[in-house]
Amino acid sequence: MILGQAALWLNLLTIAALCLFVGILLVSAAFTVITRVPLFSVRLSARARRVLLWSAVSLPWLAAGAAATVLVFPGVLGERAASLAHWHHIHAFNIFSWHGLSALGFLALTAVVLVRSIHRAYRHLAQLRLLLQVCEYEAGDTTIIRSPRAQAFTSGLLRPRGFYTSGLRDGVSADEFAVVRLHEEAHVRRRDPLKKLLFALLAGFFPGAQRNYLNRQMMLCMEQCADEQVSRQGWSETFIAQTLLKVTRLSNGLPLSGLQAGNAGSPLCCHFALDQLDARILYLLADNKGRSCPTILIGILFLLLAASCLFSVDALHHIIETLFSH
Amino acid sequence: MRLGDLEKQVLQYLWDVKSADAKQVHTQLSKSRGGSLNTIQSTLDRLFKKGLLAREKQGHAFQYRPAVERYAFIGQLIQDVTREFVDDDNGLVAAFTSISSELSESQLEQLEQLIETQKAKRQQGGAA
Repeated sequence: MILGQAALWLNLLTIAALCLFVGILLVSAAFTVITRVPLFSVRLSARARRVLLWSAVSLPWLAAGAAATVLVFPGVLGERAASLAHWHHIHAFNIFSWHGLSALGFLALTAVVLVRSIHRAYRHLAQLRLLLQVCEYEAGDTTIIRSPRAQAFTSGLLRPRGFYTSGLRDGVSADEFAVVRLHEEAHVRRRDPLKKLLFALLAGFFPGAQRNYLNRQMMLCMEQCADEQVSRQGWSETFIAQTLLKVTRLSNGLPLSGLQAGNAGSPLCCHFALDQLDARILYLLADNKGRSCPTILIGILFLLLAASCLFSVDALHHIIETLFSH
Repeated sequence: MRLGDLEKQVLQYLWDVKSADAKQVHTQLSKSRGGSLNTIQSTLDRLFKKGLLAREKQGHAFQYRPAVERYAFIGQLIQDVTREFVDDDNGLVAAFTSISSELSESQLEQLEQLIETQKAKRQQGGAA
């Protein structure tokens, strides 16, 4: 049995882990309802969706932290509320109990998600380094990779850069290439690759289906926000949409080599890509881009989530201790 | 897959000359970077094991040639870097368009039609 300050911190970790579990469960349930029940679907702008997606992955952590802090100092709740939300023996912690199991499980999950993200980042940067080592460049203010494949992308975590292939540059007009460049420059300015990594790290705590949904939606929002940036620079939305379609055609026009055929054959990815292309073009062409997201809504969601975590953690505690021994 | 500096130089050389044995590679590369014939032989062997070179025995020596063309290899590397659109939802690049070989032409045409309709609508709106 651990007593004193160490026990307090370990209990805090257990409470935070339980609150996070509850928070993620609630956010996942909310997303399931919103995506499946048309009644709840509201047309939102890309920027609003981006804010909501960041909130979805970060609010459970903030709510868990707030709820855990309040449970450690139940006096702030008042006597009545404290009877509903409290934590027994906060200054004693038994590592061989479900408390210990919860804390260790949370630490193990965090380690797995962190290692996975670091590995992904390392693998990605290694692939990029190899590409830059092997390919031939063309000098100029943009990085042009000599390749007949038409492709433009932004990569790099701390110092992102836009990359363009000669196949793309030669296959489109100067205006179309300018649109592609502005799009990639928007990603560079926003440091989107790094944000993607951080978002994927936070989304990594969600169940598989929700994680994929969140990541895909964030990717779509980032692309739509970059498209909007191009539009703000004076290019018409229809021209951007046409360029997008043309570059997609160019990218798909080349026969895949034997090396590539294995990777590209997944039917899932093709639907996914199509959804993205559809969604981007329809968004560009829409006269009404959708509602914005008021900041107060995020505040209300945070309070609701923190309150749910706070009051459900005691119930969860009692359910577990009724079903299992301490 | 990772390539060392020498592996990269050997690969670049073989992409240029198409085919060579270890001695020819050594003669060419030793001018710029030195190194023994053994080092070149083991580098060629490593590239062969990585599937980047093919070889056939001619007399007592192996004749090496690239197993993959330069642009096919670079295309594969680009695909690896932008993999998220293929089989990894959590990729770390932001690409202008997705890589997919199976977008149906009719679906692309529908989108094109939609763009044209919207363009005409906006032009009419602007003229009115």
